[in-house]
Amino acid sequence: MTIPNLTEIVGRGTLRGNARRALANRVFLWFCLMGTTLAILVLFALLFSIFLEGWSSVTWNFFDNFASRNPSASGIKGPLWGSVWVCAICAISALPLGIGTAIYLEEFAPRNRVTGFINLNIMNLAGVPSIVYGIIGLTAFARMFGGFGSASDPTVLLGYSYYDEYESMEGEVVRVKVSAIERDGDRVEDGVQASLARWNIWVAHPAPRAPLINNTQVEVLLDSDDGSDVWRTAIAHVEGTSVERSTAQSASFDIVEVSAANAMKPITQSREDSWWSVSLPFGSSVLAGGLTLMLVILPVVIISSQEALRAVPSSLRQGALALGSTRWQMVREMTLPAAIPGIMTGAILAMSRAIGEAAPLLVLGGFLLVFAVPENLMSDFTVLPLQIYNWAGRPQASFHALAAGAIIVQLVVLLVFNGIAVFIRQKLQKNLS
Amino acid sequence: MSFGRARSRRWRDWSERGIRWSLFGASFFSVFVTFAILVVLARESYLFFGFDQVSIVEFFGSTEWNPLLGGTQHFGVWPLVCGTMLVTVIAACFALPIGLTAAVYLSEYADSKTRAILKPALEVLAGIPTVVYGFFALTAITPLLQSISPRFGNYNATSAGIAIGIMILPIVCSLSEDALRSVPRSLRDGAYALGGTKFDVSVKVVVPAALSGIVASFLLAMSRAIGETMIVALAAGGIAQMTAEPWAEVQTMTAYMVQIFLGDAPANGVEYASSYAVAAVLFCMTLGFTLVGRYILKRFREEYE
Repeated sequence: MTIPNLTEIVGRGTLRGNARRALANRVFLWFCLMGTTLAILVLFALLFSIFLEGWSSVTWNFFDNFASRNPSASGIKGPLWGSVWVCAICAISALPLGIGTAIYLEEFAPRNRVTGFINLNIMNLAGVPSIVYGIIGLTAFARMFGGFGSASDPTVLLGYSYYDEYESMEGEVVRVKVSAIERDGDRVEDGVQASLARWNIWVAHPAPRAPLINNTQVEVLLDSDDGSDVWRTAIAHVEGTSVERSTAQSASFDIVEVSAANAMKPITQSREDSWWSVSLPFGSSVLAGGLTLMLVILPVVIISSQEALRAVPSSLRQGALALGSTRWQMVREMTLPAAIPGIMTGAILAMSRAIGEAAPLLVLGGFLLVFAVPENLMSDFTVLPLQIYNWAGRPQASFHALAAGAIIVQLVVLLVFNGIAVFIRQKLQKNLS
Repeated sequence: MSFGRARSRRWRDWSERGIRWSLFGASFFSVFVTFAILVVLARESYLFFGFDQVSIVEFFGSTEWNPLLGGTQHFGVWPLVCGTMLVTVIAACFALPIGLTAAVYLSEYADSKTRAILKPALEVLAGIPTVVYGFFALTAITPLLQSISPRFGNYNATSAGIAIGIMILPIVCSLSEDALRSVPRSLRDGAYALGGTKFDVSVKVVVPAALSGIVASFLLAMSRAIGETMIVALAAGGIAQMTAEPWAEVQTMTAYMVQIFLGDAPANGVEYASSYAVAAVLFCMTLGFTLVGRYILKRFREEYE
């Protein structure tokens, strides 16, 4: 672009007369003021209308109730904890990756085409719409490209216990622990019913389909009269094809029914998770949600960390290198401590973006109505923005009030995040140059 | 002693190398993400075009988008693109003039105290989650529009467009202001010395000099507007149609994807696959806007450094 010819431009103005130019000047000032005022007014109108509508919803019960069909009994306990889980996973995965990338690109990478390409690539990733990341998260995390079966029937399961559920002679449901879920077919030929005095005893062979053989260790559920379940490990004593006697560690009992004809089939099979349960594919779990948000904020974390590292004066680096430190020693001792306030500010702002994201999680199939707090990485979840979307999309005004209440909570959380970021920027940032 | 030192140096070299490679691995992850995006969108779009009901000619040639309703399905992407562009243009009509005048005010007129108040206030707008704008559009902007003209339905393009305009306002404003402020002071001084008023200096000297930066800010803001999801999903409606009427209900590309993934369509069906093709179109559009914007911004930066 060429620099404009000033004489020509201003001279043309002079011909119109000074009064006219002064008027134009004043009109333009008012025009600019109006634009700015309108922008600020919109902000206040937005905040005001939401506070007016939602203030009454924000009560103690609002934080302690799950979502419900009944607006007056609805709350944000589910989405609030969902947001906490998802954002924690997002932070744990995105921050090390993003800051590591920034350190490599700023401190280690040679200035060559590969580095230039990675930088350009990160710039472009920052411009990708978040819903596209949602689709990638759905395909790569929730479904894993279909490589591990469907999300409702995952192939790889870690940290689960399995139970066959039988109906006892008294019509109660009795659960027998088994080693794995049988997909199709009836492994339960070996399930043998036994009873002794006060106990209903169910024995299941640990190895599916294999006949019950002598001295096999079996897990036995003792279903006592008072309803409590007692687990015992027992050794089966087998003669021929029939089971005659088995002893548990603290109880001994007879096995009465022996033939395959009397064997029971489970009415259903159940799965119980533990705190470390993981299954592949991840399905619409908090883990998949957190990792999807990681994709969304990763470019933001990288770019802000790069800027923080770039702001560190190079004299610090040169000093460290001159004293004989390696690159990593220089980064660890000089650059990173100097850049940490900037990096933290950027990280907090990125996290506040993650808290507000709804579209990628909507695509992922984040459950719109969740009645439990997430318990492990595989739990179903919803987050605050999704709950807001759900309530805002309903026609009833009472749900709109709930949405506005949830928005107030969301905005307060964001305000706190931004406040921390500003605090760090003001207090911790030292002038190093 | 010397042995210990040699060993520690070797260990240091190894750990240095290990750290270097793991950091390189981290930075390569971003390339991998791009690769994954391209592969997923390309593969699933390819599968979509493999369905009998679909042809690539129809996808880019037909103006009928009717993937869900009974009868014959039609997959012509233009109604969705048209809906997206209508909403985006309305957003631009709202955000570009206001954003630019606010930027000119902040850069040329406001003293440092006013700036210190106004700039953070505008940045607050940038931090508000988009679903909040969607709610605002639905509960405040739409009723306002309906009180102006009864032709506006409960869902309409203008309401969503204005909400998106509010959302991209801070992007336009702060990027344009950066561009205006990086115009060298000597240009302004020269114009003042020749007797120019503030109006003359701002409109005839500073804005033209910063034009490429301003255009870049427009393009980046448009890219955000095209990809915006929650506002249109809440306020724009769900009828895919070719229309330029601002009070009409339109479906954008992003709103269509939300409709599909919220469970309106059976998995592995043609409707489901169509959302990947729509996502690919969306990705290409936003990438185009971003690339052109970055290109202009880069050229502009070289000008004054």
